[in-house]
Amino acid sequence: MTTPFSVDKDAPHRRCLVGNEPVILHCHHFNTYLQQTLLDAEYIDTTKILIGAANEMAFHQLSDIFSRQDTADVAERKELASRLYQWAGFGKIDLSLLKKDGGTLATRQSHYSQAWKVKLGKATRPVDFFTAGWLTGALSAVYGLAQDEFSVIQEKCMAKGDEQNVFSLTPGGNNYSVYHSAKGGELAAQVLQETTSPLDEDAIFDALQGLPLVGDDQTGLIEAFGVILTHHYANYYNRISFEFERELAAQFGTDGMEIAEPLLVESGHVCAFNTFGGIMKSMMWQGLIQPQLATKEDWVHGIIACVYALGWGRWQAVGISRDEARFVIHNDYESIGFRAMYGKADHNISYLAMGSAMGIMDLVYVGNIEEHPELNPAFYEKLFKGKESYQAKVVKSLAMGDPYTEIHVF
Amino acid sequence: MVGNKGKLFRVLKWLEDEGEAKAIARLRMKILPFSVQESIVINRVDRTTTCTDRLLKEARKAATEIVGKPCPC
Repeated sequence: MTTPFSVDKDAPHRRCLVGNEPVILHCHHFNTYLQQTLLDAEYIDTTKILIGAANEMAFHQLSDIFSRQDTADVAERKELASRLYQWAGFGKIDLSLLKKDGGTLATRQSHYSQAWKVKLGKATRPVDFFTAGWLTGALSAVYGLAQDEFSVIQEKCMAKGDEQNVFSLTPGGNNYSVYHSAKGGELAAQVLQETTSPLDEDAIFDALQGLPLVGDDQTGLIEAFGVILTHHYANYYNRISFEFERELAAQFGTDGMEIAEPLLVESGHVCAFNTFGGIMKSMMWQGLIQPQLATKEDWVHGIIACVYALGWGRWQAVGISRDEARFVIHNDYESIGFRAMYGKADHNISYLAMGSAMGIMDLVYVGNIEEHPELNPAFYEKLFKGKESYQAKVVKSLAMGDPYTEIHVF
Repeated sequence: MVGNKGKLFRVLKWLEDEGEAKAIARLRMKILPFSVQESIVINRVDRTTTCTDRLLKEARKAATEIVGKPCPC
């Protein structure tokens, strides 16, 4: 799929930017679990955060692309935005249905609604907050209007059992929180550690970059490695996680923050289990990576090499054994985003990284992923409810002022 | 009225057995305003813990939602 927008790869930092927004690969397990965590807190209006963060991403990304391309034609802008939405795997939309005075848009292809139904079952309310917010930001960018010109209501949702998702946009003001984009953020200098990896990691990175991971022409979804992937916005995840945490802290102090942490970490755990597990069982893994692996420690290095292609920053693993490992992460997207949004952190915020690092160790040493177990909920429960499951502690945090983030898994 | 000795513990035990890996963490999130109001730390609940009818009702409701079947406790 050729794209009418530039996908800027920053290979040394293992990052990818589109319209000056960092874009990362994440699966439907992560997307739905994280959203469920926010919705569980019914005493906070988290829908305003979810919709507002998507509005922020679409508005700033598309405004940047339109400005760089000097594209003023409304129809052309709508076409570009619709194609970007599909490329990212969010589903399919036809923005030509919406006008300067808003309107109604229906679609039968939506990552969030379809993923919710697949993973969590039938929803009791509309759940595609992402698309709702994305449409408001996109339409404002298309017409060169204020970021929060449109309010939005999702009237129908496939996750509830409706045949399609239906969104209504109305001009005259928002019904969500309004955020200003943190963009790419400021990167720290990378001083790479010596590792025992037997792999040609750059070659693997190059090979993975060549995989056709883009939204399908018919469905707008990216189905790969047994999961449904998205080229999502790093700062969407950052915004919803950190704003959620701040709301909890404002209402309940440290109690609120302590309660959020295990669930935000679990999102990463769920992601590692499904996406990394799926990668380690894939034909790509068996052909490209597995022939170079001799030990379980090599398997850890192997999946780290794949993490490079996700845009999560430059990961390294050192001191790996069955007992422990240290995951050194240069420019993890959570730290970069936090610093750009709020300045230096006073506590650890690398939740996804913690969960993912634990998940890698659990898959390799507890789950014996090399034996190709079936990655189902029963195996997940066995793996992660058991006493053998790994723990993690952040010992260095880029967000808190350290030169990189380091997670001790034990 | 505070009472219901041990009942909240039984709800949590059922949830731990029947629920997903982080089921207790999800319940803590769902009932946070009610547990804070009664100064109850969910992770420290034991057989002697008492709570109001309201907190117990919220805990049962949350446990039911998380597991996807009625909490029998």
